[in-house]
Amino acid sequence: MIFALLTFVGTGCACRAKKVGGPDNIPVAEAGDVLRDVNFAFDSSQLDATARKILADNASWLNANPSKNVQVEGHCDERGTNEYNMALGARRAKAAADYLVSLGVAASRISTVSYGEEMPLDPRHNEEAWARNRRAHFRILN
Amino acid sequence: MENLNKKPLSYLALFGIALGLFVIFSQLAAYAQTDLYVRGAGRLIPIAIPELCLRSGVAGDINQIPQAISRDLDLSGYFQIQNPASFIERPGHCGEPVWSDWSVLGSDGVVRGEVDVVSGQLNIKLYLYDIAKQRAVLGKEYSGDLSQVRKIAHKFANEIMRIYTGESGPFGTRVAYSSRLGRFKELFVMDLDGANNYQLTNDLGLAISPSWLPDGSSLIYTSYRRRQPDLFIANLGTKRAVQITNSPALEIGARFFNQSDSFLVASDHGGESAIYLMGRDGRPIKKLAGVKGSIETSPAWSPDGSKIAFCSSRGGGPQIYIMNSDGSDQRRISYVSSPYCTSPRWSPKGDKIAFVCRGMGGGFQLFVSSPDGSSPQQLTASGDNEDPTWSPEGRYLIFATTASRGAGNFALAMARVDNPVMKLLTNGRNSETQPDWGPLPQ
Repeated sequence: MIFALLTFVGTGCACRAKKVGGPDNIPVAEAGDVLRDVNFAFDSSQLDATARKILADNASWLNANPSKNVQVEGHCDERGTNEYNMALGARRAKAAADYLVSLGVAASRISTVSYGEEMPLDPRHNEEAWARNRRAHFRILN
Repeated sequence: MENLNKKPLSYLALFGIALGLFVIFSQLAAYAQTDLYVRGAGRLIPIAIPELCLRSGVAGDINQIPQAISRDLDLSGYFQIQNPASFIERPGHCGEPVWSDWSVLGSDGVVRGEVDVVSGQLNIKLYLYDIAKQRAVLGKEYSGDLSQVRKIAHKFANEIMRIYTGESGPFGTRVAYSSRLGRFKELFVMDLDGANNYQLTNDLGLAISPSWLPDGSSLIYTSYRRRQPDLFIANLGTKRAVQITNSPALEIGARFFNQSDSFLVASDHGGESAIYLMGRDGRPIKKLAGVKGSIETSPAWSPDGSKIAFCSSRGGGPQIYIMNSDGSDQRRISYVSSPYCTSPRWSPKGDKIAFVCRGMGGGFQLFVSSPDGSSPQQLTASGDNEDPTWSPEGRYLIFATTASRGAGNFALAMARVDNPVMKLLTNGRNSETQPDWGPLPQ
């Protein structure tokens, strides 16, 4: 048992050392720049008027830059459970993506991914942070 | 097939027993016990667990045995472990207990044992003495080497549980969970008592929602190692992971039933989050629950496989529902005056479902109810408490709680369902979440 344990511990250390500098498989959380983030109410994937205006701006930019593809990330605040928030993030990303398509952006240029509550923009635990973290973020891919 | 972790560094094994023990003890120290009283505790049974008697030979640290038994019985929530500093009888005393040395301390029971060592093999006899009756009420003989003493301790702790509570305990089991490592989340596996904790994945992304295969050999989980949420099955023995799904769709909360070739999972590959029965090849076999515009997630089998509990937002906010395993007869069972209930898990005894609801104060609390939703009971009251998972015999829950370290910092805790005093299993430094309690060792 102890030898088995050592093998595991040793393995964990070995691969950590080996993979330093290797590719990360998730991006760093960041606020939208060229394409602005849209925010959501708690446990909601509804696009309010503010969100629709931002998405209209984002759609104009994408329509003016047809060579650019975008990945829409859905995010949640930390409240609620991880699995539910993963699904909620996926719905937020999809709601934003569908709205971009309705404004003439080709669906083939848009992909979606949910990071649930795992990638907060604001690490604090208060209403202000939660409001910022409930978002769809637009990552320009190329 | 892919290597989860690169080649094992077998030369590390040369450090041998000494380093192994160091790891075990440092882990025990890291997970020092703190009790967080959720509700009033019942009377605890005072029990003394002195050092073992070494009859012959040189044994290394055989007192891992009383230490591991003490930790187990403390976690059980039935015992008050008496402080060895108060013992009158000489440590390592051989033969019958000096009865008066224990009765004066108020001990109900004393766990003692003796060890013979012959060419590295240990012969271990362990006894439970009833101090009032002045006789042994349990005696077991084990043999093995030093690497097996913790396993032996857990077996005897389970026997002690059977004597006092009529039912064997959950000791000797393992717990898988997801924990922060910088920006990433990786899967870890530890013994129930916190020993032998190790990092299983090195996916450099999000490795989340681990769930044991029923034989305890592997975990199915969701990982972003391909930069999208896919299902993988990681084998703990070979340390290899097999990729099950490969698509931008979200698959999460996979749960096997028995050693079947199919599992339940929440997937949005059809555009809407729904509950599917899926094959090991990653192909959906049947859509079991899905309502347009609703989130369906966190499926959980009933112990006989005839029913499924799950979370659905079809009525507005998320609530707990059950259905037959073919998807028929779907109905809500959570009625605890909360607009937000998730994470159902069916008790292995079949008589209860545990779930999480957002409470009046905004925190998330654990509840149990009958499978039809009747007799709901709130188990926790402070902080956030999420992701309940049942012990294999159905008396305990492990869950993630912020009660010890504050908002956002989860530690794993264990509690009896019928008398929930929290016992911390991890220290919360890396926000340990999504525990899944493994099966009893075979």
